[in-house]
Amino acid sequence: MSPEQDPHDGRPGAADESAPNEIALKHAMHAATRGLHPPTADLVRGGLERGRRMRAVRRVQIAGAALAVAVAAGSGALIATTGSHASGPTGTAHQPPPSGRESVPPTSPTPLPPSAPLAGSAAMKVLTLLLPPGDVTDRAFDKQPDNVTRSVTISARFWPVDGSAPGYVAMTFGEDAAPIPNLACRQDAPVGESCELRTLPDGSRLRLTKEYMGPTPQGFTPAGGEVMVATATLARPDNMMIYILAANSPNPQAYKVSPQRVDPVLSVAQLEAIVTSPAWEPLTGPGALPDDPAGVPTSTPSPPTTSAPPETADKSAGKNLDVPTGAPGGVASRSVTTSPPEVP
Amino acid sequence: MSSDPDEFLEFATARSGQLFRTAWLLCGDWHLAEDLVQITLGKLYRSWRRVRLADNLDAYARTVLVRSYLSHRRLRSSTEQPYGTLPDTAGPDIDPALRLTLLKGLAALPPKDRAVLVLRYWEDMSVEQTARQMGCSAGAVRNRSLRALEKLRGILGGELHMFAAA
Repeated sequence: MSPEQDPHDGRPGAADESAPNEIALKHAMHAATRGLHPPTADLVRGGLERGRRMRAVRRVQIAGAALAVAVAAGSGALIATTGSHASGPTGTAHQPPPSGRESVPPTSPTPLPPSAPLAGSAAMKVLTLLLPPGDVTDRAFDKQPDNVTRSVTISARFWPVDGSAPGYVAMTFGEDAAPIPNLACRQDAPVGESCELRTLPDGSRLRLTKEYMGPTPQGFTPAGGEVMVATATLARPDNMMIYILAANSPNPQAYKVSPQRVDPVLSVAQLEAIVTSPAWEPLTGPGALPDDPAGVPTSTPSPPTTSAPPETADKSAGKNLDVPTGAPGGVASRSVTTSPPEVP
Repeated sequence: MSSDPDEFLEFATARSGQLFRTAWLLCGDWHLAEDLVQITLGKLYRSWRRVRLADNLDAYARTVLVRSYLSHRRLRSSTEQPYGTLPDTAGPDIDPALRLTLLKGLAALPPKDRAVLVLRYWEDMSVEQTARQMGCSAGAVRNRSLRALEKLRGILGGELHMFAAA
């Protein structure tokens, strides 16, 4: 055994004492596994099935994460994003935004440099630039891409500059496993809802919706009213999916807080402009996705990290973005912001 | 590739046996070892387009396996003791009693200590390689290895050396 293999550094003589044990253990392990007949066919078949399920879950999560988060009633999560304001402004007048707000100047988007990481902080900057004039508060975002979905989720409360009530905005983007997801519109949309599906010149598919949320498994808006959301989903030919949601409630805990606006805080047209903006290209273009903990590029993977709080601009955002089972899209429970890399 | 899993299937078929043996030594339970290997293969398949580009695919797969095992151990009850009977497929080449003795000895160790021993003495990995696989320092591996060996010797006593002649 070479010195670097000696497990007894710092204990002179110990290696000599234990060497027979090391040899015996090595023999023991090889002897114990001798004659084992692994069920190779079952292992391969089961592994393939699990992998396919994981890919399917990833596709669903990318498409539905933001939407599900918005109605994550009782999840206590995202939720922490606006928890401190859960009983906040109730009128339609523009309330003084809490400290930490960021005014959005009416400026044209400035794309980030190509080397910008696909992280929530960078995504939040882009979104802030793309939003119409107003204030952005209660920002929350993933510090790094979710290890399961290879996606990033960000959220914030947006206060229009016209003084109308604020609304919640959430966004998810990431790489989908399927070339073009099967975007579709409901055939039996209730009165007041809308859905439009288009194919853009570059081959991307765009879905624009305006719909009521809920009910959730935990109940729906006991304070009265319904939460209306506008969404835009862009599925690009390069497998990148960009999804944004705007609500007429300032709080994703919709079942606790009545909507304060009739319409979502951003129109469908505004959402379309956001998801189709070239400002996302540096974050979503070829090579922009960093290697996620489950994918591995060139060598053995980096070690798993311990749980860390999300990088947030607002300390109230330092909790998980839990998506409960049963939420729209059938997304299983997951933690977006504080889970360590699943594995390796 | 999602549309063409042939390459993945080739890898999985060739390597699942070794992964299974490692998993079995790690967890000591046949069915859990199956589960761990399938989880590992599933994770590889999920990201196969990138995983296939890894310099050392075997090392990567092993790392996924070890970390899946450690994650599983963190999540499950500490009182769970899966060590029991082995299916017939365990093979007749060695005295089952000796095999169970080894598994029970390993079961008495903390999961990370077990992982260190399995990587070092079953996979024949160096301290540094083991450290990279487990995501810890080489010093931690040395300390764990020493402690685990001493504890195992205390548990198994002379039985450990019976394997050498098996």
